[in-house]
Amino acid sequence: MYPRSPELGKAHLGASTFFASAHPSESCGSNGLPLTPNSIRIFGRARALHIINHPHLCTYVDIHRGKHERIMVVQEYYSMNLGKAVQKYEKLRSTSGLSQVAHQILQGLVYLNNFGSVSCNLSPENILVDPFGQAKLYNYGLYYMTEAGSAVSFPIGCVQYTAPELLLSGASQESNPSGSTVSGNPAWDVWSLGLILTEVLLGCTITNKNESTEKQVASVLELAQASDPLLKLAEKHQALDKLKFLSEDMKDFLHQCLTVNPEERPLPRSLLSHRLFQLCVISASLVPIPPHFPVIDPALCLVDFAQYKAKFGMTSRNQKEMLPDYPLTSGDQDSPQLLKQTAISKRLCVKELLSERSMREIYYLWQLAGGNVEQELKKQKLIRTKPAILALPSVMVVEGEVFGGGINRHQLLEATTIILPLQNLHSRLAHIPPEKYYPLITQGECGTDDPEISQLPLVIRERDVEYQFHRLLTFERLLQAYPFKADAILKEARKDTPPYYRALVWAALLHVDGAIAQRYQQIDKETPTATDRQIEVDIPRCHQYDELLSSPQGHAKFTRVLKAWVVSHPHLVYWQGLDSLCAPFLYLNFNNEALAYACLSMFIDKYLHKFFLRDNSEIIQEYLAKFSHMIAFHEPKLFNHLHNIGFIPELYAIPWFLTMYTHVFPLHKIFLLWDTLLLGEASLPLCIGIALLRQLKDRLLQFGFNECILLFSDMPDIDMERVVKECVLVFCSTPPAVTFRQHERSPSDLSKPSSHSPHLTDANQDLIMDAVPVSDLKSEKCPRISGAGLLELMAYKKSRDGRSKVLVVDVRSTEEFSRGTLAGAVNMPIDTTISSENTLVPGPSTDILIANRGRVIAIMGSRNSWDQVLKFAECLLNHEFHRVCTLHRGVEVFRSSGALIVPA
Amino acid sequence: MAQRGGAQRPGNGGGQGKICQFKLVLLGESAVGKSSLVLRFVKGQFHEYQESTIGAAFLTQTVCLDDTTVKFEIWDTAGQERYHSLAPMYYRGAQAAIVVYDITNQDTFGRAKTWVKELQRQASPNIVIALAGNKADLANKRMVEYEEAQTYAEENSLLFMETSAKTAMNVNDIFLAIAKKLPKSDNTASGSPGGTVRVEPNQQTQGAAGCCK
Repeated sequence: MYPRSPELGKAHLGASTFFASAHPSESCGSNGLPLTPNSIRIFGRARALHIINHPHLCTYVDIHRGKHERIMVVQEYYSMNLGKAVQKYEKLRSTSGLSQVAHQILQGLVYLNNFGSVSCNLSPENILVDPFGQAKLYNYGLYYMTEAGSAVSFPIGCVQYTAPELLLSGASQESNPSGSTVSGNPAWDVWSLGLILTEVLLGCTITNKNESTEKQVASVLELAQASDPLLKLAEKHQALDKLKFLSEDMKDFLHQCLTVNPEERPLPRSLLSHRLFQLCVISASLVPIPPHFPVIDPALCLVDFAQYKAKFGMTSRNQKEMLPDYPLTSGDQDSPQLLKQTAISKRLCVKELLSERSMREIYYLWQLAGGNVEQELKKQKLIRTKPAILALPSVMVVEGEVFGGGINRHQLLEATTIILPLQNLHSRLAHIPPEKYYPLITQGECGTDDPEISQLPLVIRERDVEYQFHRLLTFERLLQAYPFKADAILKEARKDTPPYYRALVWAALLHVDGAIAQRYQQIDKETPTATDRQIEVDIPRCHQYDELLSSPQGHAKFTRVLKAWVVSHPHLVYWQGLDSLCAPFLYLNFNNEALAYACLSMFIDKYLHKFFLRDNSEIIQEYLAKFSHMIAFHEPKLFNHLHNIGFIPELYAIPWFLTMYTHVFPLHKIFLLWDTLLLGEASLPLCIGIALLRQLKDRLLQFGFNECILLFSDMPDIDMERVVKECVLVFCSTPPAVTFRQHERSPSDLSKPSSHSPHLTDANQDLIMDAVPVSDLKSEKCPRISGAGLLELMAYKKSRDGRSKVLVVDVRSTEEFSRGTLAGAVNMPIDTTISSENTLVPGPSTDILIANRGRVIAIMGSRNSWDQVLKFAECLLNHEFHRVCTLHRGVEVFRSSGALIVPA
Repeated sequence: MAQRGGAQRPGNGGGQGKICQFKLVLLGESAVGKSSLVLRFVKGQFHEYQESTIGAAFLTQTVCLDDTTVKFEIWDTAGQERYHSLAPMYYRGAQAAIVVYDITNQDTFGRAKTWVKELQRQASPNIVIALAGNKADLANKRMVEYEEAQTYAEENSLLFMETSAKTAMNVNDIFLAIAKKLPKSDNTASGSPGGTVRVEPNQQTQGAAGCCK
């Protein structure tokens, strides 16, 4: 997954939960569609928080939606918060220690401001202190993900630390829940910071938490009315002597923070250069780094000076001293007495090794090892299940709105965070030797090569924590070495693509490279165009079962990527279906529109070349004709049936190919399908079509026209893994010439000899497949094979077990045949082999044909009597012979190649 | 929620009388609700997020009318202007067409008029055309007045109803009205044993496809 999150280190994964506010039932937006649930709005927005990667901000690892608008958030977490830490550690209480902390918090805030948000949620509980004494803001994304609190029905932030102007405007804010653009004033957080620090320095608590909200608000407003809030605080809590002992710098800093007028209060950015922080060093870049592809490990990126400094100056953990007696383990770990000594040491070792992995990776593996956030929250009573009878509403009005019986107000936001227990994961990975954590990709060492597991079905492999762990390690390395290791990525992806890295593997398979972010940035995605209306009506119905794509953020990103594509491809146009095509890329690269756009562009260029031309009928017609040929080639019986009932590909296969099956299947199936599709050539989608038909073959053969088309209009459940396997088999048994399309993108390496046949030289242009008019393609039922393709098939004979892969049938007269034909060709003059009723005449020829059933049967005739060739081929097709093809441009193509011999 | 269709709904009931099969095509701007109308009529369902139609989709539904069983072969076309070139392939040989617009969007009404003109010019001369003002449940967002559309429909001798695929209002009714208006004389709906004549898009016009079993 992407972008990479920071290393786990000594962090815990903490889970917390809250409820989004529910819409009254049956409410519709102005477009007649139901309002987007607030939990989906939150879900879509929260995804952007994954980009945040800063040493003083806890990482947002993941977010889930539960029932009844419940949101569950997984974040980096430490068991110490500032409130507890200052009580335990003298060092942190001291002016110097506390100014360090203040400096770190400010850095976090500046980074957050640069990201485009504010915390609005500062409190001693939401400032965590890690084992190295570093401050980390926690829960700072609540304001951002809830769109300034408009998606939840509880206030954000701790009342006693909230800036007074926020409390005063609180009422008006709530009445305007449509505020979709989050801005927030960075100065709000400065007030809170000032109060928190003052509290520590004066050794007092401003208000008792158990006091009523009214009293808490009153005490904040009381402060706001004082001319000097700091002095007022000290007076109120009899701490004037403590105030006296504070350094001038600190006093000045606190004064500035506690400026009542929000317009005069300094912003975090300017406070960073306050005298108090003269000796402090910036820990890391204060600007979020957008995700980059090809992947550059930010830690290795020397271009970014701040990162450089961070890497070698400040944050290297090993050099830093840990706080003594820091409670590292959560209380619920199994007692050591129960474990043998060796097991403990092994676990410690795993723990150490895993702490170097990224948090999101650990969380992913934890889930594979059976972890489930909702279960954990339930276990620890943060989610309480209420008997259904107690949840019944007490009043219900005719319009469908209900009152009472809902969620208790105090449950809306659960302030507690629970720690996800990683023991299970540790024990699952305990036996993996340390060296496996560092695979040597240059020596072809690729994690587990355990043949047993690689033979298991994909669904099992995808859920096997150990297998995925090895895959993750391998792919991480390979992707870091992209594009240098592009070939190795392809090789590994042939085994399978780990879902965790799918976005990047796909980008690598599509050869995305270069300055994609800049290119995307330069495209005008705002100016209205004629296509806008169409895009606007298509997006709200494109894969909307998905939480991410149906969120307002998803729609906005969708629009931008599609508009960018349309604008940047002036010779191509938006056809309905492009939206579906974009969906998988957008889903995978939700935080990297540029990469989604780049992948989409590359994908279309490779697999749907010219499909989005204003006039694409020729291209589609050719494609469908080729598909029809493929059916005849691989499934003659089905072909005959479908042909007889008039069920032609035009009627069902346009959405298949125009959207590469994205309009046909849900996302999870598309992922599986495209994992394979992207490995193959532009003709692979045709083979997928055949594999699909094969899976439905039994039904189709029994169905009439109406049933067939109904079957496809409501695509039945397809076993995608079987399709994927089948399509590869189909691909391998299809000579390239059969799927040749003149509108295919010409491969850049066209000069590469496509055949190893000794007969083929550059001069033999005749032998190569070339364009056939679409009208001819459509009138012919069987595909054509090129001379070179035929020679190649024949060459197999010599290398395999003597059984030839192809039967060449020369349909010319015996006289012509005897003058020269291909070695091994069988002469079956059309007049004697096929009766006037277009059936095979029983005899030795027919016997030969029957004996060769299953092989490629190439019908060879003269260019001048092409009708004979077609007639013969169609007759075989009617007799349900597999793999019948005709020799493109007749036997004459071999004249100059010397392949013709006089038969014995 | 999803009401199953009205009393005239399908089936093999009726039975004893004639069985007529008609080809019906839906035309109209994208996102006016063509597929939703069909889905409501055929399956009694409604999906808020009905997917866009690419190329065309096909469904069938049978209604009983007195002693006649009318089987509709419904071609639901893609709305995007660009797919226009494919449309003749679908309306060719159709005995009935429903041109759909969205009452909350004036442009879609304009587009509907263009479709009517095209059908009058190029489709089978006897084609029964119905105009459906869909999304009638959004009456408070109305941009196309009922009277305006009705006047237009009368001038062009079209069947006209405002429909709502969401609430099922008038959905079965409009199909039934078409069924009533379609000629069920022997030459279009005879009991010839030849089975249905399929209109194949890539072949020349094969004329009316209305045949029966």
